[in-house]
Amino acid sequence: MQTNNSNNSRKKFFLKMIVDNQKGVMARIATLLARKGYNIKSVCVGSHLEEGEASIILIIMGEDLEVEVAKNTLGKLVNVISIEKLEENEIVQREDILLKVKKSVDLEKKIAPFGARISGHTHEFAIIELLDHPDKVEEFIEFAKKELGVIDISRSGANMMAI
Amino acid sequence: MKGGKAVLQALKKNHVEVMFGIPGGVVIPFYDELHKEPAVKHILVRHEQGGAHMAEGYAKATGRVGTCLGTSGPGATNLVTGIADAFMDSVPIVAFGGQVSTPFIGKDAFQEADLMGVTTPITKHNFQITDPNDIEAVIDAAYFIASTNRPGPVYIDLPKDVQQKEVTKPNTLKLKGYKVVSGFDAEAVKQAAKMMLEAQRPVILAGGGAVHADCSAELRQLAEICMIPVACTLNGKGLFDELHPLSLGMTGMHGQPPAVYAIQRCDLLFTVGIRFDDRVTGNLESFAPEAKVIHIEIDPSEIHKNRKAELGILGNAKEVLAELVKVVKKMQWKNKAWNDKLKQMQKEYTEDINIDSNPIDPRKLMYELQKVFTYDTIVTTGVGEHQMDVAHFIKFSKPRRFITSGGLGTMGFGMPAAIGAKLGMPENEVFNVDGDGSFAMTLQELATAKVNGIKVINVIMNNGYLGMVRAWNDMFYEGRRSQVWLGKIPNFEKIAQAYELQGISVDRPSEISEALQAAIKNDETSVIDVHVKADAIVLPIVPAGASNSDMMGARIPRGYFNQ
Repeated sequence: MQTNNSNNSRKKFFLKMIVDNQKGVMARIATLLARKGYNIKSVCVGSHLEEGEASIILIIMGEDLEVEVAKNTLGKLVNVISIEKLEENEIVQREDILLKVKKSVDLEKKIAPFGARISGHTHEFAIIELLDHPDKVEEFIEFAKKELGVIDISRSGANMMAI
Repeated sequence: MKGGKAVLQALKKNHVEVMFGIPGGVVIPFYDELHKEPAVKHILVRHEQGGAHMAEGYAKATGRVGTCLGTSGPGATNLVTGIADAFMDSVPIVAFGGQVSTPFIGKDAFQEADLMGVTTPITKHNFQITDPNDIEAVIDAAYFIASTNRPGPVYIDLPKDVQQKEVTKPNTLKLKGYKVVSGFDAEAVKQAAKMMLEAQRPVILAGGGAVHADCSAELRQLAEICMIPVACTLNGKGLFDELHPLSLGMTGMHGQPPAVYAIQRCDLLFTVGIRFDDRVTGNLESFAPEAKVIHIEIDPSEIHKNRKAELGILGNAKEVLAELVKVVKKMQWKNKAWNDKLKQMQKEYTEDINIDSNPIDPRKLMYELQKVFTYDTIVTTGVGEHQMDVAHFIKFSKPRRFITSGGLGTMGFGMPAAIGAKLGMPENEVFNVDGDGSFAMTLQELATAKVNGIKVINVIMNNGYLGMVRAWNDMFYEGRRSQVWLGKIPNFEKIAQAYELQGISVDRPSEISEALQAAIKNDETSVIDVHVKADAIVLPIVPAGASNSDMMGARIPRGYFNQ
């Protein structure tokens, strides 16, 4: 694609889609994303307000015009009811993660500064949960990998809502 | 009524005049209903790919939605090439694939294949009908989606039990995510007029999208009022009369050098219904380097996709151009120097192609064909050197007369597309100008033409090679010809006779005209096997990946694009 700037103006964009939740809709979207080779960082899916409709949040990296074209391409899918493109300064972002770590004596104290808490435990393992801005979540994951010995992790995918 | 009958009724409701198909196990229930009441004309084809290309040829010639059908498994997979071709050229067709009964789906049943998965990336949309009560609504939706906005193929998977069960209470279907583009930005149109008035060297480029929009008249008015020269893409040929004084002809990889020059040097590129395909633009970084681009387009995802437009106008081209014509009527135009220059270049580039050398030069064949073509002759082609020869040398004056596989470039497209076109436009003479390689891929449809009395004149440019590939071997791979010699087999005159049709072999340039006349006079399909020289190269050419300004050709001197 012809671009006018020589410097890298790739940014993080958020695409919010409302889709008709027909059988196979995720497969259609996934096929299109794969075919076009878009740089998708994260996906968050759940049912929306109306019966039979779902909302999908995609985080996509790229230049403004490139992402505009991606938005229009996804919007063409018959199952996509609406799609909007947003930037970081227009939204609230959150991600939820669960980590399984080996239980240790002062675990709660260690994770408290991050706002994380223990959601479940056995005598051997503990499950830690954190719900925060994705950047804070990344920081916590780095910390946990270094200091806590992470056995398993499950991320929800970044969620967002326009302000 | 049974689902099979509901399918038939829905086809009738959607004004399907003709469908192309082959029965098989899981679609016998539908064919049984067709037997009881032949509500739609059905043409039995010999390979489902032929049926799909026939649906395409019908759609491209008439602008209406084409219809094809194959049974489950291999029947439906045989439709895939035609569906992918329709997707690339935005051709409105609805393709039905039979499917195994719903309880067996996913169990690797006999003749089962996941056509929903296969066709998702090559259709505008697809449906699998699992309830007979959905039949009417889905088929209505399919024809609607295929024919509106940017047209395209829709696939419908039709399980056997759904055809057999009773329709009890028809459901409705809401297409929540599909809106027809309506209206356009009137301010943008005013802005376009202003940009056109300020331009010193403007060019109009019309493509396949303009044909879908049916905007010949509006574009002609615009060009004539503003005195702006008009070039076209392969799929746009004929939309603007190529005999008109303002016509530059086709641009692109094998286009007319004055057209390619005009676009490379213009300061305003006014495009209607194009997608900046690589065959048209050459290397994108160096395409129309001095131009501001106005992009009139109905598909929002095409604007800025390959080339940033200074002004994108989303809307139906016919409506947008009609409004633009109103606005420009009040303005004063003066492009004389630019137009005169281009006219001079065109005059210098014209060559005499009535070449009588032996063996036959392909250009001689083009000369003879142009002589017998009228404004209403429909011409289909296969893919390769013969296709580019027709595109480069033959002028078309009306849209929907030159029907070719552009985006996908499917060999074997020619004859079945011609059959479909003839059924859609029975009053028009239909020629298929084909290559020996391409023709051999779908020649079984000669049976379809014979048995159904459909007349198509097949002219085969026979050089014994996969010509275009051989040409690239010669030009870019130092003559290493790898697997391109077809062997000058079969004898196409004898093939025609085997199908009880007229076959004529032509070996000398003086015989071409007589052969064409014999085919025209004949009431049935003919095959004219024209043996041409074996190593012709289609020039001029912009090599793949090169800049359009590096177009090569015998009569393109150094500095041609800098003059």
